[in-house]
Amino acid sequence: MKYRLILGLLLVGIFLQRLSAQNWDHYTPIQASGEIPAEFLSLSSFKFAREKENLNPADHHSNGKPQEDFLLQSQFLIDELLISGKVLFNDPLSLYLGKVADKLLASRPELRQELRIYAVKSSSANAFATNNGIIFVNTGLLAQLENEAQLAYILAHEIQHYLGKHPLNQYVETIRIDQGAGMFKRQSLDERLLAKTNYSRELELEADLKGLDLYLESAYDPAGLDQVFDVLRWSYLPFDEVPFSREFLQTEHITYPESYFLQSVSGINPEGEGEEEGNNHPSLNKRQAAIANRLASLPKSSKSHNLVGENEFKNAREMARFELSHLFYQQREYQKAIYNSYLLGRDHGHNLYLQKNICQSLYALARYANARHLGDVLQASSACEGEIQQLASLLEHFTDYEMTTVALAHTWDRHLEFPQDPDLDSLVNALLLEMVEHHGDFLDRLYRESPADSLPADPSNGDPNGKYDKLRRNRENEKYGEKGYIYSAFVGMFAHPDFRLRLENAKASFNQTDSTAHLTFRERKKALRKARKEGKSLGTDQIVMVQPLFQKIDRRKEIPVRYIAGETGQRTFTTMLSENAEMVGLGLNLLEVSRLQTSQVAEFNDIARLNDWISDRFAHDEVGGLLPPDQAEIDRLVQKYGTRYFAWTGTLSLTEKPNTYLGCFYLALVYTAPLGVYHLLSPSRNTLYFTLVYDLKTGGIALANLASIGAGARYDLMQSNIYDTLLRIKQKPG
Amino acid sequence: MKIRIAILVLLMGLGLQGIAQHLVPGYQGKRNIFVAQYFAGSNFEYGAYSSRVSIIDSRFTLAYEAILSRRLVLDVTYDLARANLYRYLDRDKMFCHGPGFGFKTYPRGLPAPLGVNLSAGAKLLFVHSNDSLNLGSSSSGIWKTDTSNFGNSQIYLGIGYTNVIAKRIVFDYGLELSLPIWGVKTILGKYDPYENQRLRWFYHYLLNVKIGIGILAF
Repeated sequence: MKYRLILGLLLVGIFLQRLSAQNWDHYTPIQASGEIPAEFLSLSSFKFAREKENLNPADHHSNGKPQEDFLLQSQFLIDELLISGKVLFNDPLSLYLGKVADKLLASRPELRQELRIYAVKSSSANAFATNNGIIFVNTGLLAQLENEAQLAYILAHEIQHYLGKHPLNQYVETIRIDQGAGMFKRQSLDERLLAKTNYSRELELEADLKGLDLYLESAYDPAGLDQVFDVLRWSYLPFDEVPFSREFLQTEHITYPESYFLQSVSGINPEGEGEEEGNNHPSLNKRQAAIANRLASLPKSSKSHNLVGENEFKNAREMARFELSHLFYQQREYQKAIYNSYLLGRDHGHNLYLQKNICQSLYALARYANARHLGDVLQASSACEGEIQQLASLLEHFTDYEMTTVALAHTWDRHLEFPQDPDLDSLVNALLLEMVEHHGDFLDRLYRESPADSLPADPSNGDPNGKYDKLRRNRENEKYGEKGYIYSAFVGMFAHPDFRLRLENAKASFNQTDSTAHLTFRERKKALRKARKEGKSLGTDQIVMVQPLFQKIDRRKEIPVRYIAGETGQRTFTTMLSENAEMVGLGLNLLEVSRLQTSQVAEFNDIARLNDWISDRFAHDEVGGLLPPDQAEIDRLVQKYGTRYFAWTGTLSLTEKPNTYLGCFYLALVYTAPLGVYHLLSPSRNTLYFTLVYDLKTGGIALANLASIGAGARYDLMQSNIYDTLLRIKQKPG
Repeated sequence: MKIRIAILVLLMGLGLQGIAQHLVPGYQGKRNIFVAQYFAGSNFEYGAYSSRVSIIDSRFTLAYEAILSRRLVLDVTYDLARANLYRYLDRDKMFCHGPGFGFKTYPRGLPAPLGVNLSAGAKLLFVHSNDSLNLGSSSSGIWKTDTSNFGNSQIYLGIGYTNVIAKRIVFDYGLELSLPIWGVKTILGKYDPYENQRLRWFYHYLLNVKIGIGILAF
């Protein structure tokens, strides 16, 4: 019985350990989970009013309006970030950050209660604190850290920013300097700029030193803590420096010429980035020295660098590094994405997530190369530092057809490795289509068999391996110069019947889409007009509208964005959408964070995914959009909401000074004088209404309704426009 | 017979626009508007006489507007006008009434009937003049007071702006230029016997400021 109990406990232990360990082989990007925190859902204006009540009139910087302005702007900007989907909650990273904060503030439980700590999906190595006690830590920073103690110190630093109300003070001080108040009255512009920079640096140094005091109160070991500044110094580099293997993107039939690689890569700047003049942060060397001095005076301690646990730290860091691959891809930094996945791949072998990331990045590069926009997304090797330079050198040597070929060859190999994955499957088809569309001639010239075997031997020569046959084959192989290697790239792929079939399908698909090529100019124009006319209505009974936008900007004001009016308008706008949808008889599903209940985290994540999708759609406008990296997830959303049509809609209202030119023009026409007086006295107003309905199955725009009106966002104009848009969505074309 | 045909054509037109109407948004589904408009303005004499204010026009119009498409509105009106003529010693007063027919187009981004619109159409005016009439020139000294009925037709061009000020209430304003084209024999009265008087209308263009208030009916 005793042995059974021990065995049972052992098995449960192993099970729990496996359960808690991240399954890297089936890694998916991190999402928020659990209950949505209340501060994500409550109104910004409500939070602003509460913060305003908490202002301390005895404070040195409490001079009324600037403080209120700061609270207003910061509250709305923070809330914008909170609902953007970039901020995670109840996820493994945020929970881990919370545990480190618990350890750090074990002796200050009341302070810990005040703080909320969230991980942010961002590749930038940064952390920041807000005036109301939120600390954001970017995944880009987590990915770079060496140990848990460094993270604890960064949290301590940010907590000091919060305690010292540094964001508020800095804003108020900047306003004072700009306005030339007090001692700044007689100072020149450059002196004022210097004063602002110095003040900011003072706050950073204060947070460093007071942060260290807070850190020392905890059970974390201070030894070697100053190395955290090295992390910050070189945080712009990938998380590791490992030589890029020349064989990495090679296949059995692709071997790159030696000239594509650098003999040696450039060294790393010993001072790192961000040491330039005018930077608001003091020199990292100075900060590091200040902390090192303090640490030198401390007695040696027997404390630990890892209170939560080394494995937990490494697990969280690895997750952050996995996230980076996806983030770099989203930010169109494809070299970094490939190199990041390459680095992670050393420990994780042929990991599907990483391999997909590399294939998607190559696919994106091929699309940009074929659209002649590669320069927009490819960083020159001369601008890179360290080992990533080798990858940059290789990529910049590729012509558009080489890029497409390499992307296809690499993706095909990964498809063979993971034949069940639908995303890789779609990528192969998309790259084949790309090849057919842009490089049809090149495709015809490719070897279908190994060139040496495919050349027929000279029948007049009895010996097929004779001297002249060999020379002829060599000449054939080398006729394309150093680019000759690429003509054998498809030999392995052509051997697969499935590949040949896909290629034929791609050709057929391309010919089908190009069916208008033979039309005359007049016929094309007619076809276009017909398409435009038909595109004026959609004919669906169900639609999802994602996070409708309402913004008011008044350029006459000191703070042009009218936050409070915008929030009120936003609520009116969404109410109008619901009412008009009912009137039109359209099933409308409004996905808006402020309408969610705390338990609707799945919908919160859906909004985040859809916002990412639309950002991607706009980011790749030059190439007409890319395949989404996770079509399966998009298909799930289509199924969940019962429609393939998702709309992004909004109203942007702009108010400016009166249009005096127009006013004078009308005055000059005598009869239109009243109109002239009106234009001279009343501000110039313009409102843009937009609705873009996307078909998530195809990624294309199904319906677009844009209206720019020379008036404010009036009730009747909004009602009319909303009704019209929803009617177009509902009405069948024709 | 002619009247019957005219009525038939009008009904057919309305029927056709009714068929077309269900495809357009109108204002939240309301595609028929009844408007009461008031026109006022000074009118300049043109041509034979020096340019100066010669008529003060004051006109009420009842209009029915049917939204035909996102950009086009059919406008059927009936005018009731009171015009005071100021010419030398004359203080002629005339009462006019008559039907009109026209279209409004909405070239800007929003669907009709909101926003800036351009209008064009034609009007018949049946004029009843019952005040002093100068039969000859001012120097002839021949004066006669008489009642006279005659017909006149105009085309009009306008620019306006429409908005909805409450749930179903429309407010519009703008400018309208009426250009008299020719005199016609009225069905209500005899043909204008006085060449001089007919020319008065013929040589005037009428620029009015209009304001109107209407109901989005159905």
